[in-house]
Amino acid sequence: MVMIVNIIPNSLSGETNQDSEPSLAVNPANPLQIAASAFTPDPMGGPNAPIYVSTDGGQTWVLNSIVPSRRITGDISQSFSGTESKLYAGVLKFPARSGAQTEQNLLRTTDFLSPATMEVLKDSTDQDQPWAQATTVRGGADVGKEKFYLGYNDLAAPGGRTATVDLSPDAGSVNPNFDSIRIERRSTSGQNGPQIRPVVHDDGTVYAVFYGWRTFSSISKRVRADVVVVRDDSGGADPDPFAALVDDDNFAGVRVARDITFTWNATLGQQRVGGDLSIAVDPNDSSTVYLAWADQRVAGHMLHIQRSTDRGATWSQELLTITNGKNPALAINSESEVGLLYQQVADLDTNPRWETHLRRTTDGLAWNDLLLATTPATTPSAIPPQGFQPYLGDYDYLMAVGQEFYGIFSANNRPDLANFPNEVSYQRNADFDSRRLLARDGVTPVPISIDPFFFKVP
Amino acid sequence: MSSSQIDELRRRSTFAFVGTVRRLNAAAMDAVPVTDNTAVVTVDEVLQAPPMFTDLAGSDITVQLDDAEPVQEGQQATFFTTGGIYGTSLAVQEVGHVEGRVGAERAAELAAMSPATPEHQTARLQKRIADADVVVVGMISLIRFPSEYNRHGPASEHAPLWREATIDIESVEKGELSQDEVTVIFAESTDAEWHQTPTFRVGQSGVFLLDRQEIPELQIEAYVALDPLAYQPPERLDSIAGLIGEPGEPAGTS
Repeated sequence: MVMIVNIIPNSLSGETNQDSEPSLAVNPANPLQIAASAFTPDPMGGPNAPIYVSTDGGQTWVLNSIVPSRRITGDISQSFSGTESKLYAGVLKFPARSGAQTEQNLLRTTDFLSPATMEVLKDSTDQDQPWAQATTVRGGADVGKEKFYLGYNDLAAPGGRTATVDLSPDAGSVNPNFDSIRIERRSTSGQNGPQIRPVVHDDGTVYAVFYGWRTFSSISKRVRADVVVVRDDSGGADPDPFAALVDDDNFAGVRVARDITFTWNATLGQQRVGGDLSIAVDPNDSSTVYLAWADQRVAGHMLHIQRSTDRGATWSQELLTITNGKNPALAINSESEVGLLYQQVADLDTNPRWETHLRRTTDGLAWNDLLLATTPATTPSAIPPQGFQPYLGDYDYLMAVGQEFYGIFSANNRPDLANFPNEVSYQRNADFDSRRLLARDGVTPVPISIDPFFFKVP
Repeated sequence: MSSSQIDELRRRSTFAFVGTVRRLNAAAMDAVPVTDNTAVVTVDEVLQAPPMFTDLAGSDITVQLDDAEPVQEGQQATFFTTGGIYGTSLAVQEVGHVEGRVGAERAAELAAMSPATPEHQTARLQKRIADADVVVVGMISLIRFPSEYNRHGPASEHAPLWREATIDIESVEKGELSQDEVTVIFAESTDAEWHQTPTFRVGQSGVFLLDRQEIPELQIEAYVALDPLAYQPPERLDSIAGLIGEPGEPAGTS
């Protein structure tokens, strides 16, 4: 039975924020502990931005303002290391400090429930889309050490090879060091795409995927790119890191898809598009890895799912394609079952709706389909100053702990069970009979907006 | 506590209320870790708050107490706080407190400074005027790329997408401008980082409250319209003219 929860707390029943671009972290050492995030401001305009926290496996949530961002949580991704309640995060602070286009912080807290502001481990400028993965080493000489990987697009990198993974091999230490590893080896258009996605296996295998941008037209905004997968077999500590996969051009990084194209900052259902990537490794076999990527075809914005069973050296034909899809998120559970979360615009030309699907497979061929939400794609408006991009998010998130899948997505929050065919529960006040949101007083109507929705599937 | 000290508390807080301490070493909701510095406080009267929290009178909330001045159970005080944890109830972080209830005049000041009140909006505008280097009345006659703009530069979701607007000046309300037009840099991006900054179109008229600042990416110093209040519609000219010359007071949270 799926559990879907609108995670806006009851005390914020009157809020109308565009809480888009959600991310999620479940503590593998204690799956009752979950940290979520979105583009959510501190409700009282305080000096920190908040994360959502749950200590009962996602049934109830509170907002905890502990992220040192100035107005709102910008791009944010967080991950528990599995050591006690330690949470690591990468965040873009909004607004950035004066003179910088973006300001990225790497953060840590020993207790994500504490009201104490998260500790800043590293501060830098002109980066984009931080993607955090933390783990605790389970064997060998480094047993017990916490490793923190942060994929991001470093627009300050020299030579236009901007796809970067920061690695701290001992992130739990007092002053952890970070190595910035450039994982693009080929020539680029001057930069890589913003999506840099590392994924870590307990045996020390680390994969990462990125778009190698080969050409970019500043007029048409057309991108021609390769989808590149790199691998490191020693947790990022190989002498030549992330170079274990070599393609037929003798460069490190296998090009799973070559010369794909899409339009940068095109829109789909009010949401901007400009690339989507997700990668997941089988916890039972680090040779098996699934990949989701996106491009633009005549039929629309397409998601493609492929698999490798030889550590990324070769890849299957497409296992699944999704037309007008966005925000793919892959995970593999302890039974080697694969989960794919994505959002898709249905009825694009007549009555566009954002559908949110969770599909699962045990063989990559037969995929069941669980419809989590089907909400209007035209309301609320994404037009500034009330609305903004990303409308729903440039990403969402899915992960597995044990057999269970945990995920998060953002959607129109109208309390209408027709929009949530597999049930939903709201913490904020909502009248499902009249399909109205209500303020904390339980009487005053509240306009619809975009909210984050957590779900858990056994 | 002196009046200036209370002013400082007001500037540092976003939620001020009169409350009675019910229990020390306690919390009003399970999600808040109980420590020696947490207390359950009944909100007797909300003085300054964002609109979503003006109806909290009668509610028990958790206050993370500041160490500086202890409070006792049963004590009434005026608490100056910022947000912290939001669940079924609230937990707020104390900035400071004043014993008992502040006077009626001070309470009225605090109420007026709650976000979304007309007084608060006026104070924000007043601060914007005070901070602005120039205030001009005019009409946008041209929009183009800044000459220093690298149209082939990096593509980022968070790029401001700089544009340059030329304003034909009708009058200069503040500052020194001798020419009859001025160029201003603004961000055309709809990204979350920029969506609250004003964007312009040719033919748009109004009052422009501009800052002079360096833009490292363009390697220029220029007038910019990057504050959400940097543009005001023409019908606000009289009120803006009336506010020019008055000292801007920090308006607290927006």
